[in-house]
Amino acid sequence: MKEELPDTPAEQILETADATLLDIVDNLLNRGVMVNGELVLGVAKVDLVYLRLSLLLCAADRAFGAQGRD
Amino acid sequence: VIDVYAVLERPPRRDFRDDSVRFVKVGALAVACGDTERAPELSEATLRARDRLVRELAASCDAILPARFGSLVADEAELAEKLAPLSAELAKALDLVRGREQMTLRVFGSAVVAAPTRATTGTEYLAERARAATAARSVAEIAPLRARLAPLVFAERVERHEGIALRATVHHLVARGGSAAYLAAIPGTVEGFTLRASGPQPPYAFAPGVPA
Repeated sequence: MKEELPDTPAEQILETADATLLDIVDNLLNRGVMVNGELVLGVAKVDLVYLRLSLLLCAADRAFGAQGRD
Repeated sequence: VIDVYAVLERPPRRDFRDDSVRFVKVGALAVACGDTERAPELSEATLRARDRLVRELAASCDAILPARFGSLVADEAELAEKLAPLSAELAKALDLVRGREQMTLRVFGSAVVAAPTRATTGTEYLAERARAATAARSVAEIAPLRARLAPLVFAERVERHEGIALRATVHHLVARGGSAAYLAAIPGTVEGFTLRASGPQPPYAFAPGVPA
């Protein structure tokens, strides 16, 4: 039996294994014990990750719409 | 330079074997960390590797508080200095997460823009501020699920979002092994809002200093 695959990139990221990527980015960069007041990371690279995350969520907006898809 | 991975109650059980990780005793805590020469590269591969490491640590102990990625200190003295002011909060948070894990629920849907209220007195202004603060900590969208989730959820952290379809991210602390029951309790939609649940994950959102 053929498994049904998600249709759009946003669905692919929010579903199954790639939901973990969203969680990983959100958890590791946005949460957790802050030992230092500021993190020693390249600012441009952090911005890039958040830009990708924002694009992902905007894509989810278009994919799912207000009423959901169920 | 020391790269801090997580704060534990004590070093993990013997089933954790990673020679790159060492445990520094800071007061009553054991801090999992590694030695490095520079800040970790920020990439999907390094984030996934760190998440994997934290999950392995979590599987080998009862209580863990992951550190934020990129938490570096110069040496053990600085580590102790930075953590000392947090020790009471860390102990309390470790109590909370002991034997538990994090589930994440994202609520999607179009925002309903409330009509702006114009306060005419100081009392009205403060009341409006209080209402806004309460709303920022609550998730009315999942109110219909509360009774179903109550037996599964021990603590909650809420992050509200504005301007995009993601209305709120809700982190729930559930008993280890309770993720299947949690996922089964979450429908795809509730009252027109789309829900996406994921997990289990180490309890990143329940560290001290993370907004509740």
